[in-house]
Formats: sequence, structure tokens, C-alpha cells
Amino acid sequence: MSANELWKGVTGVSNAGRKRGRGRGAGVKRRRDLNRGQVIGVGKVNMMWPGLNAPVLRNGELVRQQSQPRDEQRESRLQAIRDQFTDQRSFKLTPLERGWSGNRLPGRSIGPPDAVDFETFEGFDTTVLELKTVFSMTATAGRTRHISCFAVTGNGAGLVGYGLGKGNTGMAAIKQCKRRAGQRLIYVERCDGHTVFHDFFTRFAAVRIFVERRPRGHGLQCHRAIREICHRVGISDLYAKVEGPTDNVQSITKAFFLGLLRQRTHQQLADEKRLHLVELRPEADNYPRLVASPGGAPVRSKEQIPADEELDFQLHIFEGKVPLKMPPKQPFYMKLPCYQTHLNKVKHLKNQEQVRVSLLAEHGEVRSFLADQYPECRAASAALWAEKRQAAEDDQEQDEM
Amino acid sequence: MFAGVASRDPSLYFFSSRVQELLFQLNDRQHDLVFKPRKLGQKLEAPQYVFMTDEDLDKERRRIEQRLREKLQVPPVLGPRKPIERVLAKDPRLEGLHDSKLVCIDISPDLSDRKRMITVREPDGTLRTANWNERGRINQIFLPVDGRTVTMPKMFEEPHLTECLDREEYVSVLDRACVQFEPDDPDYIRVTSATYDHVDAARLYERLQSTRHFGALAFYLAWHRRIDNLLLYFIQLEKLNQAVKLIHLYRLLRSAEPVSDQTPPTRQESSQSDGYSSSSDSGSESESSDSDSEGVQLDIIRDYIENASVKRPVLELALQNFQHLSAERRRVEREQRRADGRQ
Repeated sequence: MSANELWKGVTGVSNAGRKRGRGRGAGVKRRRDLNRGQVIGVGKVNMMWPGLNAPVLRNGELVRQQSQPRDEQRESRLQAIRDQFTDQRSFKLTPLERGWSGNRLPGRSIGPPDAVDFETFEGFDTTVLELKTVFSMTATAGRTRHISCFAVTGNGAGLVGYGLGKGNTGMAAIKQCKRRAGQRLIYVERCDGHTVFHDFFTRFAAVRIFVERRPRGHGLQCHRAIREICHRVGISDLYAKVEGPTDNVQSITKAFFLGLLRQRTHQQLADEKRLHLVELRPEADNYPRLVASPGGAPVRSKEQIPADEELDFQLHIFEGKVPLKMPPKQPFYMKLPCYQTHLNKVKHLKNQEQVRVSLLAEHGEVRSFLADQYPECRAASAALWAEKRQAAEDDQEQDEM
Repeated sequence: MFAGVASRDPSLYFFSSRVQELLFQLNDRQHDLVFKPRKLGQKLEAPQYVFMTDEDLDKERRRIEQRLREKLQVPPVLGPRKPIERVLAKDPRLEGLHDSKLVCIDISPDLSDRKRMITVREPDGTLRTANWNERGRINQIFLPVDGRTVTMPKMFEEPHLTECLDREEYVSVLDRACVQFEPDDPDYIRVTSATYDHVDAARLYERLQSTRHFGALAFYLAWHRRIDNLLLYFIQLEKLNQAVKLIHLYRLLRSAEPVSDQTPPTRQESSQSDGYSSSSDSGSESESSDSDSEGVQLDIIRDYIENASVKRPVLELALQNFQHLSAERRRVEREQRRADGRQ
């Protein structure tokens, strides 16, 4: 039997199975050329065959067949050569390059969109949000397979866009979606260059998102897709709660984009209300910082404001609605009477950490007020050993004197 | 230091409203520094926004002016406290009963910490009132003040204090001293004096600007007659208003009679032996207001430099430079106006 027939028997997959994608992927047996590393005439039995792997005549004399000592390493050498040619496609990514899972593309960067005419997309970066295989039934070919790629691109300074691409191959899909994302850019205003102007609610299809502004340094506490979009926009501090289908990345993206576009800047709010907008920060002693004053029309006076007008900032932003905030769930045992017993038992330990720290700061070791009276009760510590060392040195000096 | 039986009591001068107003005016009072966001280990929240009318805004601004006065209230300057220990009773028959002192404190919450009764029974039977050191420790144990420690923090001892000052951590040293000590504590006076001396030597007055400690620094320098460096600083920054106020403060603190709110200022005020008299043409009767002309202010400063300053040449040079710069600026403005007028 030929090598082909033998290998087909070992790795065989039916035609129907092949259409379904069986016989591909990790762990499946792949055919290997077993002739590599071998020479005709040399085998398990190491012999000199004149005419094959040795000359027929040497110095005018006939060479005879001779057995040679076995080559012990032949097996392992051949095995090493055969292992080399396995179809290994795994590669390591650094933590900064890594996406959301494994070596897969979602969450990973695919570079800026390709330059078009004079637009070089400098400063832009694109992140893949979704890469999946989709099927559709066609009249002629039945089930057809395509790759779908959804990505978001942005320059980290307010310009951002998303795009969906489909193709027969992954590369084609990625190229198309990157191009589309670069073609459909919008500009998003950011407050102080790091966050949204105010809390908002937004929805698209079945996805609902509650977005809250956060102070500088808080970070992006949100769905991973929203996090990537924020990285592209240049928002660094945000809270967002996604309700509804959290796996529908495209709907989440569209909902979030809608919300970002419908934001009102401080100036817009001051203009539409015709009142000053003042910022109060508790960490700055609630100093009233004038953030925006109405531009065209003059500021309204108290008499000009109707009695039923909503002046509360949060209520105005949400147009009379209020996001439901559930109180944080407490563990079940906190209601039980035995919990109070437990709290009373551990009460004396509550301050232990702080006491240890202040003892270390004051004395260099954790010691009680009885340590002077009972020096043998001092715990082994750097301070104790320093004293002992000093005492030993003093004794030595005394002896020398 | 303010110590010494022979020296005057600074508290007699410090609390007068004229001195207090001068100390307030000497401060830069920059709002964004006085109300700067403070990182005190608290969880940050997003800022709050409020819609305001013009009236609301004015009301807030007035509230802020009031709050500014509170935040810039200068920590009191008092002389070092006198011992208050006195023996109440002697009971030699109690000797040997205890081998340590017993302390009694009246913990009624409505009493002042300085006035509440704290007594000590010595092992030899003597019953006496507690000394200031003991009072501080016992008060802190039973009625703790937030941020205060029972024993003095190591940062107020040498060499740590000098190390902190070398790192220019003036405001944090002074803030902690205000929390830890009472104003008449000799340790408070020692720490604050060391800090003000360091600031003066390094000329880093801007570190204390817009804090409540700037007034205390100015008072300290004026009290010890060392205002020359600070005066030079004001002249170089062209802050003639504040230079003049500093000189007025110096004069007030030098007068023999403690300044009281009732006594109007008179020509006899600065009748010291160094010949620095108030007989200059400028309004010596009253502390100048900001509306005084530059000429009047320069006269006051020149008068001080000639009669009372220690670093006369340096100050004269600085004043000259200021005048040249001022004249140059006026000339350029005139030419600009002429050029604009022609167009």
C-alpha cells in the first residue's frame, strides 16, 4: 500500500464530515512524511551494502557486506525530526497585546484604518469587538459561510467610529470593517478630557445602558465592549451598567454611541436653561466654580423661573425620570442574632492592625508596657536583636579594656 | 522664640482687630489655592452641578468670602505657658501604698480641656494638680482629639524636624503642629519658630501663601524685627500694597503700648530708640489703604529702608529696580497710547 493510502486510512474524514469542518483543529492526526531523515540503504539494521551505501571496489579490492554496530540514537533522531514538522500554530502574546480570551482577535488591536487619499488616520487605532462565523441559506448553494467582523476605531481624542465587515475569509472581513469604521467617524465631546458630561440612560434594540460619570482616576468600570470604545474615544473614567442582552456587542455599541452623541455639554445646558451652571466638589470644600454661563440670552432671574420648572440637575438630565438604585445586598447572616454575638467577640481585635503599626513606629517592635519589667517576654524582632548585638559589642569592648 | 520673662507678651498684640486685618491683607488669598482639592484618603465622587441665578451666585460668593475668612484664620500666637503645678495636700502616711502615680480627671463633657480638674497622687502621698505635660497626655487619653497622639510624634524631634523642613514640607509640619499642640505649648513655639526660620532662610514664602500660616509667619518675622527678606520678596514681586502693610505691622508690633481696638494710632506710637520715627510725610496716622498712590507707598517703604532696615543696600537696589521698571512700563504705555491715537 502506498503512503497516501495508509495515511488516508489513519486520518480519514468523509466528504460530508469535511464539509462540516471535521478533521481540522488541534489534536487531530496530521500526515507526516516518514521518509525525512532517512537515507536509502540505512535502516534499523546497520550494514554496509556495497553498491548501495558503500563503494563496490576499494583500493582495487571488492568490498564485502559487513554488519556495523547498531546506531542507538537513530530512533530518537528520527522521532525528533518528525516532531519538528507538526502543525503547531499557537504563539504567545504579551499582556498588552492580549485580547479578551486566548489568542483570539476580539479585544485585540488591528492597527489604524488604511490611508485613503490625504487622510492618513494618524493617531488612530482599531479594536476588534466581535469576530464570528455566520451562515446564511442561499437558493443556489444552500448554507453559505461568511466571517463577520465588528470593530471600533478612534484617535483617543474624541473621534470614533464603528464598522461591520463580512467576507469569505477573516482578512477580507477585517479589512472591510476597518475601512467602514474609518469612513463613519463621529466626534464625541468629553468633559475635562476624561469622562462624560453627566449621567445618562440610553437604549438600542433590547439593550439598555445606564452610564454614570466618575471622577478622575476611577477607571472604566463597565462592559468590556464599552471599555474598548472608551479607550478609542479617550474616556478614562466611567461607570456603565448594561441591562438586557450583554452578549449583543453590536447593539451595545450602537446604544452607547447614541448616548454619547445625545450628551449635552455644560455650555449647552447653561444655554437651554438660561442659568449659570456651577460645579461643587466636596473635596474642594464645595467651592462654587462657575463652569458655564448662558451665551446669547441673559440669565433668568428668580421671578422669571416658573414654579414647576425642574431645577435639579440630575432630574433635568434624566428628564424627570430617576434611575432605580437598589441598596447593596447584605449577606444573610447579618440579620441573625448570632452575628451580634460574633461582632462582640471580635470587637477587641478591630484595632489590632493599627495598634501594631503604631507600636512599630514608636518602639520598632510590637511590645507591651510590661516588656521592661519582663524582658524575657519580648518577641524576636529587629529591635531586640539590634539591642543584643549592641550589648555583645559593649561586652567585647569592656573585655578588651 | 517668644520665650523669656523679660520679653513682651505677643498675645497682647495679636488679637487686636487692626493686627488681624493686616495679617489677613498680607495673605494672597488666591481662591484656587485656598480651596484646592485635598486628598485626605476619602473616596472621590463625581462633582455636583447646580443651576443658579445671578442672586444665587452672589449669595454663594458671599458665603465663600466668609468661608475664606474661616480657613485663613491665623493660629493664635501666645507666649509660652507658665507652670500651673501646685500642691493641694501632703499625706506622708500614704507612702508605700502604691508604687506608681495615680491620676484623677473630671471627664464632664461640658468643661474646657484647659480648665478641667486633673490631679495627681504621688507615691509619697503628695496630692497636686497635674503639670501641663501630664494634662495634655491625660486629656488625650480620656477625651481624644482627632489627629492628636498621646506622645509627641517623632517628626517634631530633631533630627527628623530638620529633615522634614529640608524637604520643604512646611505646610504639613505646621498643620500637624496645630493639631498636636496647644498654642502656648513650648514645643509648638519651638516647632513653628524653626519652620518660620527655615522658610525665611530659604525665601520660600510662596509655600505658605494662601494658607492660614502666612499670617503667623508675617507676625513672627515682624515681632522679631526680621522683615527685610519678606519685604524684599514683596518689592521684587511688585506687591507694594503688601510691602506697606508689612511695614505697618512692624510698626504696630514695635509700639510700647499693646495695640487695642480702642486706642487710635498716634504719632507717639513708634518712639523707639533706633530713630525710626513716624515723621514721614506719608499718612503715618493711619495704615495706608490700597487706594494710596504709588508715590505714597514708595515713601513709606523708603522711610523704613533708611531708618530701620538691616539689609539696606539690597532693599534700596530692589526699590530702584522697581522704579526703573515702573517708569519703563509707563513710557511704553504712553507710546502705545500715542501710536493708537495716531491710527
